[in-house]
Amino acid sequence: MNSFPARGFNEAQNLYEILEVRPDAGPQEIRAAYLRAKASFQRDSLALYSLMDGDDAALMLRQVEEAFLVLSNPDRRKLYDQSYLRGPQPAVAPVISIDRVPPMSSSADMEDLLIPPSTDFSGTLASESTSPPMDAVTPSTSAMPAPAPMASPQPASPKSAPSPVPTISSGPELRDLRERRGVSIDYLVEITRIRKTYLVAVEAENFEALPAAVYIRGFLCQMARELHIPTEPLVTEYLKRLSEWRTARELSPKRK
Amino acid sequence: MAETLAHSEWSVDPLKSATAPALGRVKQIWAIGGGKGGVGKSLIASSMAISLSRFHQKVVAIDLDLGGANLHTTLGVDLPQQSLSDFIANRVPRIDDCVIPTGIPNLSVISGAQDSIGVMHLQNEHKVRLLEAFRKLDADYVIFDLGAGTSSHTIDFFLAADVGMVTVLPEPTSIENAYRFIKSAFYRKLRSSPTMDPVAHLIDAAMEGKNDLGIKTPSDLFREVNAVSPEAGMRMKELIAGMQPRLVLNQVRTQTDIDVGFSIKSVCKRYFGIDIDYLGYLDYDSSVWQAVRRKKPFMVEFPNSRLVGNIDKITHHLFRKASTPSTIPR
Repeated sequence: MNSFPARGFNEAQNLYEILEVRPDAGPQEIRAAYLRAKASFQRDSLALYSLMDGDDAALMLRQVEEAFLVLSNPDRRKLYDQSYLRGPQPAVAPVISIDRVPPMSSSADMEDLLIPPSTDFSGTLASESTSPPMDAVTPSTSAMPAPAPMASPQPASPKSAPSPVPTISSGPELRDLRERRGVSIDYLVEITRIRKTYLVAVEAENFEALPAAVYIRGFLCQMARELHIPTEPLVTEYLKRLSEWRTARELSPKRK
Repeated sequence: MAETLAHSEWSVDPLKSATAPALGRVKQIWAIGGGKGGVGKSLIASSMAISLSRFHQKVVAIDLDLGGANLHTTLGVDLPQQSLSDFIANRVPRIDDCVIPTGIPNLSVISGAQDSIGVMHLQNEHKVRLLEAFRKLDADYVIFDLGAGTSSHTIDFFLAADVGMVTVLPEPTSIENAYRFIKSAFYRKLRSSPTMDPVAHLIDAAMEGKNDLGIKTPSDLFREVNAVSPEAGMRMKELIAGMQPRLVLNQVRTQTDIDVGFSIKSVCKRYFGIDIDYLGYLDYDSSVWQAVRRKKPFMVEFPNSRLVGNIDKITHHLFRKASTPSTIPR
């Protein structure tokens, strides 16, 4: 049921699993779980003795902190739920997996730990995808004559536009495709329940206005799904550029 | 009922023939292990046996602390004439000849082997024969009191039980041994699955701990197994998902002690990928030694203590669970 190839068999699939709570856990429960998890993985925890070394435990602690940071804040949690658990429906099974780099190769930042999954959504896409094999087309939109964008906000079903799809890997490409497909931004807001400012920022690659990579990944997955394009190259390329940009920003000595 | 008769998810394949078929009336075998000596295995085993017998279940407690048997003492029974050694050595033809009544209604005991020599050479076919005999006992429940350590016998009996409990104290030494015990059971379980044969050398390396492949943790093992054979990787995942040892935390004094059980659960989930079922804790009770000195079961001597309440609670929980087969495949 999961993507087949190598990924940790014991890695948490989402923030709820990290805290070991159910997706419908209340704030009290989350707080209690957080304190418990913290006690379990702190350095002098008895339960770690002889089994887990300090680095692994420290990594766990970071994940716990990050999970609590998101899940304890109603707004951030809502956002997270929207991007990962797909709306209000109760998550019976983890819908989207967050693949994590094994502890050995991890670097300091939490965001860097998140890598795109290899075959996310392949299950849902397979039945309805109309896109040709990815290797058939090169990532170039200029190769296609860009038709006049449809201004009408009338919702059009993406399924009715089975035109060949180039590999989409950037915000502007995403926007072009969306417009070609006649999908308005408002319609996308409505079905993905992602805020319009974020969708616009994702398309414009206005990295400054975007939240943490963990959310953006969710946005991209949803947008790709609605537009029936492969998630893989888009997410990888996009997050790579984002991460480069953010690194560059951090390195730059003085920013206004 | 078929549900409860089904053999344990922990059972070892070489022993499967003994545990899989519904041979006798035995509904479930519970095993109490834990690695370290002195953590209360015998006391818990005898107490649970008594508790269970009070639910009008016919119970046979079996001392599998081969070489260091004293379960009979915790049940207030003098060293019996017949013991498991006699059955193993064919001095008695039937296992029933070793079953000694305890004086407590519904509860009998099979004393452990007294001579360690015969037991040290316990062959696999002996184990199979023993387990077959245990399943055919005239009892609703069979309780194993396992010995300390992580010998292959101990681990195999643990894996062959329907409910395998690990006893641990909130102390580093006990926790260390409990992890060693779980680790042994974990790898032995993987190793005994024929589907894992192509990667047997990797499991051996992981058990060894020191190897050139850098396999130190189950996670490392999974990575290497997957590299060799993704099918074996999937199978490994399934096997791990099927494991569910139970945890009993003994001699707790504070809330912090109780929480150690939850922490062990979290840590095991992360390290082994297995869901440990934290059954509950037992209060530290300074009157236990009095019962031991008097050679009387604690359950009988101090019926109103909190400890007895703890034991009853855990036993009742397991009993209810066994009586109402879940729809979830185990």
